[in-house]
Amino acid sequence: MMAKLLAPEVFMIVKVVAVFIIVLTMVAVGTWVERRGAAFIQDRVGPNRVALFGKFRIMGLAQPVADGIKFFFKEDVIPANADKILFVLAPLIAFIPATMTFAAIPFGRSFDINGVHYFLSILPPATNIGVLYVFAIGSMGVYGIIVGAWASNNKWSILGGMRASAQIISYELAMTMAVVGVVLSTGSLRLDRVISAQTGLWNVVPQFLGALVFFVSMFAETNRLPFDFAEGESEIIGYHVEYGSMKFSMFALAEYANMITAAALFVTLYLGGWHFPWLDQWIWGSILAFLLKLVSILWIFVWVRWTLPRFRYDQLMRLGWKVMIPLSLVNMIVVALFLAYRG
Amino acid sequence: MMNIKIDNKEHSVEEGQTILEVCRNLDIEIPHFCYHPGLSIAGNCRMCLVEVKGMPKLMTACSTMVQDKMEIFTDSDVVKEARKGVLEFILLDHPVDCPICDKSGECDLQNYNFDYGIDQRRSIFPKERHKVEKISEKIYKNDNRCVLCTRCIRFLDEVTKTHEFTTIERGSHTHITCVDPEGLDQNPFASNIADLCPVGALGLNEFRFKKRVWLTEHVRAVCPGCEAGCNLTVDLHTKQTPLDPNVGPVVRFTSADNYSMQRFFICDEGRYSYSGYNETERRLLHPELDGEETTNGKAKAFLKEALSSELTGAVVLSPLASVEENYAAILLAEQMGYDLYRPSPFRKDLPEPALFIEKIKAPNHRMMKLLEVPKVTDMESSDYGVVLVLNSIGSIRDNSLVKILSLLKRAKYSITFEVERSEFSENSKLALPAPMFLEEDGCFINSSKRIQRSTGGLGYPEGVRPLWEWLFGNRFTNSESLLTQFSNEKLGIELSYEKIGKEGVEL
Amino acid sequence: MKKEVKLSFWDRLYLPAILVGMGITIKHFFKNLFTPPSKRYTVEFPERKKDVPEWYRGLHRLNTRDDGSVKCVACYCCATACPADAIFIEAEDIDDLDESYPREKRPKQFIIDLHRCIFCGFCQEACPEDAIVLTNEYEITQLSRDEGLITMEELIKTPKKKMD
Ligand code: SF4
Ligand code: SF4
Ligand code: SF4
Ligand code: SF4
Ligand code: FES
Repeated sequence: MMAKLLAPEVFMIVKVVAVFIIVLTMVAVGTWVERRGAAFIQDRVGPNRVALFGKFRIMGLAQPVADGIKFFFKEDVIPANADKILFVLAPLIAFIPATMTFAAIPFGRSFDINGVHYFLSILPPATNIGVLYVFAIGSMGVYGIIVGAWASNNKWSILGGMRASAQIISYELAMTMAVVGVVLSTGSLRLDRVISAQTGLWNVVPQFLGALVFFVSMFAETNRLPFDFAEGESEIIGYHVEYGSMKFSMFALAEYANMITAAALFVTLYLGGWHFPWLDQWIWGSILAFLLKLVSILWIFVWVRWTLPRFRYDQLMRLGWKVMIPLSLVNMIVVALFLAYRG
Repeated sequence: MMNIKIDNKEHSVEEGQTILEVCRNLDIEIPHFCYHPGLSIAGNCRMCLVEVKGMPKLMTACSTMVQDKMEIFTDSDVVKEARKGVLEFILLDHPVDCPICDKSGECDLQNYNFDYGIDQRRSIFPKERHKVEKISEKIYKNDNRCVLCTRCIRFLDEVTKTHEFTTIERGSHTHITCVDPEGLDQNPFASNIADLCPVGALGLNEFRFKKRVWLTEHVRAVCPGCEAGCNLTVDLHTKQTPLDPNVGPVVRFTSADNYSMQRFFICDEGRYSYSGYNETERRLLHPELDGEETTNGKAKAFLKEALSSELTGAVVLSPLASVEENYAAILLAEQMGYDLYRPSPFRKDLPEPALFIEKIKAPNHRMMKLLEVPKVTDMESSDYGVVLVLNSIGSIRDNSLVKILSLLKRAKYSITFEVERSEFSENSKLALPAPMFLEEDGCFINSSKRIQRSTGGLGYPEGVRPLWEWLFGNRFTNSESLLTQFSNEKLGIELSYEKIGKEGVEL
Repeated sequence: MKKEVKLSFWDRLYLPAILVGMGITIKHFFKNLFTPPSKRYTVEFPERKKDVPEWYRGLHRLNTRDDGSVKCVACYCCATACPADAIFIEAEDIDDLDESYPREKRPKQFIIDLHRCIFCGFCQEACPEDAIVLTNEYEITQLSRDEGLITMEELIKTPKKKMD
């Protein structure tokens, strides 16, 4: 049994399926955590009524299922003046890259059995472009937003889309610049190398500035409060004004998938990936460590969202260009100088 | 003329009036129950007590004649005290069941007690109780509420002289009784006693528990039942709630006092005709072309075609319609050179007693007579190309009807302007919907040549427009402008609604 | 009015303030997490009922006399006072002479349209017979407009206020 599972092709498929299921489950649970967490932070109760088989309330955990079913059976409206093809495509364009990025993330330690090397990420770590791949695919997500916004043929959505794309592009710069520091100190683009380079000392400590910039940009990249300019429900409702039913939920799924990917990336780049004292000596332990870190970061996403108010657009841009980019540059130079000094 | 002082204010008044009448004309309120302008003075209720300087006791305003240099106080402390006392006495045996009393809202006792009365009854003795009686087909009597003003008795004794009511027993047991229920049934004025009664002791079976009076709106109108032109207070319930059953807005007719005509009552036939104005079944609410409902635009086009056809024409006025509507038709006839005719009104034998009831059952017949419009039955030839017939709720004589029908049938362009579908509209090409008398302001000239105004409290229903708007578009802005032009040109005097006022103007 | 606020360097860093804010929110989070549902601010309605104050104006009730007949005499005072035109009454003649109280009139139909009613209580204020009162009953929902028209029979059955 174990041997069969370990056949390389089968193992690959198992990994893909497992990652997909776990990410999607996390998305679903994520929405639940978001709503319950928000409720508790605001002294409310939150969704707690949906019961499985009308009996087991399990704290409203079935809410995402109910929402999913509801979305599925809602009328699918395409506005008369919309660009039909792009309108339908946009949610897919948003959703697919969000899940694809996860492929490069190593979520556990690799191991050898019977002389065969097994690695715990979907893409082989030997692909030399790990970090680049992540950023390349990740920045595709903005197309989903801008295409959806444009295809809706609606003033509010185009405003949301424009704001979102300007914001994402600005913060991507800072983010990438911050990551250069990590790449420099590792000396490789391979994510497994990044992780192994952090054995003993996670990158947050030496590259605190870079981590901070990356962390802040992460919120902007995923359109989360305090930078949720794409949506801004109290102002313009956002790029998906015209979307309903499953298409809307695709956007929502993409947002959460993006969150997970971004969090995973942060864990990999700055929090030592699956490293954890004592726990990472077992394979399961390393996976668990990775998941634990991931979940904590996700919780911070939620936590921040219900703590901070939305920025103003000019504040957002000022922060991006005048603070984040210089800071990431400083971080890069400091790391570079340090490396040069050490030889 | 003589000078008197009322409440320290000088007034100069005519001789031969009572204090109450003088005060009424000066708009000074003196509460009263037994006094009624249409009846003899009884002076039995003591509600009207006023203080007269030099008199040892308070005087009843209804029965004391004014004299030169009299000084009257209608609001002094003594008077107030007296009113309180009188009201307390009256209320000793009054149930004060206003919630179930149909008079409440227009009850003199209720109003006076509110304004002048006491808050707390002091008597501890139980009140005498009588059962409500339906004393005739039209009227019920509730002895509990009677204040023994004897207005009802005096009305039946003095006005109709039929003597159906009397008082029986004595002292606090005194009450009104009906000695001749059949007589009351036959009396064509019997229902007036319900209006007359200042409290809820006499009421109409037909109105019993139907509607609260405060929910209705009161407008003053002229009864279209006959040529006498009695004044009506029409109760309209226009603000019906969504749950109300759709019974129509006209709730009842009651009489309205007209001091200039010295007329304070209406006949029962007129009073009970109100329900006819709620019927919507036969109502014409849209123009009809050849029996088919059509748009206003098409109707106008037909009208224009008819008027520009240069054929000979005839206009048949209606003694049932108002001065304004008829005058609009007259204007058309004059403008186009059409011949004018009038139908003969329907006549009916007078009941016993008849009093002021007229044989001619049309409110505006006198206008036709004044203008000397020829009868349609006297018409020589009946070949006209264009015929316009006015009609309203009511009926005309059969021979006129036949003649008009033959006119309509022969004409190329036959137009009827009427309220309810009748043989006229059935036999004409174009039928235009007309407003009925409660829907537009209009004047009527009664048999004694008094022009009186009837108010349109309901307003035009949707789709219904007055004749002058059909014929002349925007030339007239309201019906009053027609009346002014009519009075200028036909009567040689200048009249307006304000001048006609509540009680009308004698021509 | 423009209010000048001088921010120190520490303030302009934002981060400390953000951390303080996050401290506050997480405090609420844990407080609520460890509060049993019955003690939270939110009253979870069908399971837990809120005790409404005495003056709460809920579903109407038509009071009855000792003999079970309805106290209302169809005077229309409530319908007149009602600002929402929610009350419809049709009166009826009864042949009843009570020595102590003359009864001639009673409602044949008494309908309140709960969907129109704004629960202002004017009807109760206007009623001369203490016939109509607003009770503390607040569980009034219907699935259709017609069910919202409640009739005299139902109004009589409305439970009385607890304190009465
Ligand atoms: S007669 Fe007047 S005072 Fe008497 S119960 Fe009727 S409304 Fe009230
Ligand atoms: S029944 Fe009316 S009108 Fe007749 S005496 Fe009594 S109160 Fe007067
Ligand atoms: S509570 Fe107010 S709105 Fe409701 S029925 Fe009574 S008076 Fe009308
Ligand atoms: S106010 Fe009272 S007595 Fe009058 S109709 Fe309404 S409920 Fe009945
Ligand atoms: S009105 Fe004068 S006594 Fe009755």
